[in-house]
Amino acid sequence: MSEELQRGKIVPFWKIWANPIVRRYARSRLRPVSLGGVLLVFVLIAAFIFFSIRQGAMGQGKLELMYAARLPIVPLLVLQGLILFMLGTGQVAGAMTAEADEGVLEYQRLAPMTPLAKVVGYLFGLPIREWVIFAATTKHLNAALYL
Amino acid sequence: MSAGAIEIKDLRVDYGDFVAVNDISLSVPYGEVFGLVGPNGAGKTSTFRVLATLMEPTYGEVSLAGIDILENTERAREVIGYMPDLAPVPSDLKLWEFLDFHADTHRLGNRKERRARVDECLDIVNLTEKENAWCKALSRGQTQRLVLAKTLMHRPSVMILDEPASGLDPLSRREMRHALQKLAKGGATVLVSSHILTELAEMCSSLCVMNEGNLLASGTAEQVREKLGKKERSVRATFLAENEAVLSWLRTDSRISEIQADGPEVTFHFVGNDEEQVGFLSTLASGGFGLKAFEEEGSSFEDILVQVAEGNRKS
Repeated sequence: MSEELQRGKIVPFWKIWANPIVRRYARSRLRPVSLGGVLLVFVLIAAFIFFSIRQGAMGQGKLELMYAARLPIVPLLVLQGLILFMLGTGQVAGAMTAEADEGVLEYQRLAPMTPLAKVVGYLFGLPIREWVIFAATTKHLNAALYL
Repeated sequence: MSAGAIEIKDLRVDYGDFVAVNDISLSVPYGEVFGLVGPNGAGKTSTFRVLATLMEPTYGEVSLAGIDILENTERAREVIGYMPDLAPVPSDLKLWEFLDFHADTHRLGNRKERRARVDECLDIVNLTEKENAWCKALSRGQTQRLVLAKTLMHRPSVMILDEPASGLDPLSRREMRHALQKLAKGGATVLVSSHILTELAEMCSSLCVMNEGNLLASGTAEQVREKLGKKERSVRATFLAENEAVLSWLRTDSRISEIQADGPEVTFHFVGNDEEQVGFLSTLASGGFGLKAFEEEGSSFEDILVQVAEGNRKS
């Protein structure tokens, strides 16, 4: 027992994909059942915003497709802002409070990682579902920008 | 400051004006199961939290396996295995995921190597068949065993276990006791606190008693019992039949107190050294009282702790 296990090198803080805290939350917050429903809702909302504004501008506003497609950019950015700044921040704050209450935050505190790696882990790990939703709604934004 | 596995020198922890741990010094050699005993508020958990690097002391020096935990906290965390009292588990992870996360934070190899270690630890605590269950679905005892598995995961050289046996059934307790003793034989140092004192005395190779932040005594169970136990000895004598004469005779001796008769069995407290006790018992045996057997009962740990706690209340 006194001999230590062979340990790998310390993961630099910028290697987000190798950060144990990010991987832990990727596992718990990206389970297909819970992610699928939320993802579908937000993709449908983004699609509704995109198509309703574009079609409205083309039909009633008589705008050409190129100009009509640009109009949903601001509403889509607002939606993505809500996803990241409201849901993401809320998730970080809520989950940190819950973990502190439960006492499991202490396990993370005791993890032999640099403080910066832990901060990065929480910053990108806890709202990982919101990051995925953000990425999924970006295709609507791309469509608005480059169509 | 690096002779033993755990070296504490002049450790003090204050919460405002309240002194939780008052200048304690302690040295625990490698390969020991060391018990920390004391009533509620004795300062055990504060000491444990400092050792686990979860709290900074007001002052003092602490080294674990030769690493100064205040100077080199991150390195110290690699050799520490900490199990808190009423150990919590996350509600959103399965058993193997919880253990894999800890293996990952300790960089125990790739996915396959980590999984092998997870299986090994689940096997040690007999939770293999539950590996895909949710942590939140476990009973209290199973949760304790899971957190013990987490504590073992990175093969720590110093294990700090706060009430590890709480919530465990007698069989699991015995298994845990054997597991800890086996770990100590392998070179790990185990610091453990428990309120089940008889069990702690059986489990630990040495222990210390804390009260109101002070270290009252440390050493083997026998040494601590000698130092803190009552000065009088409790003696139980059994006679052939109920005997009024012996009770009258006992009452005349000033060294005897608290005489209690239950049929042919009489218990009393005797104040005196070993030689005086031998003389007293010889007189009793040759006095024609029909003495059949006698037995000396030492102070149990339960008695010692009750004595310490009662002292606190009076003061």
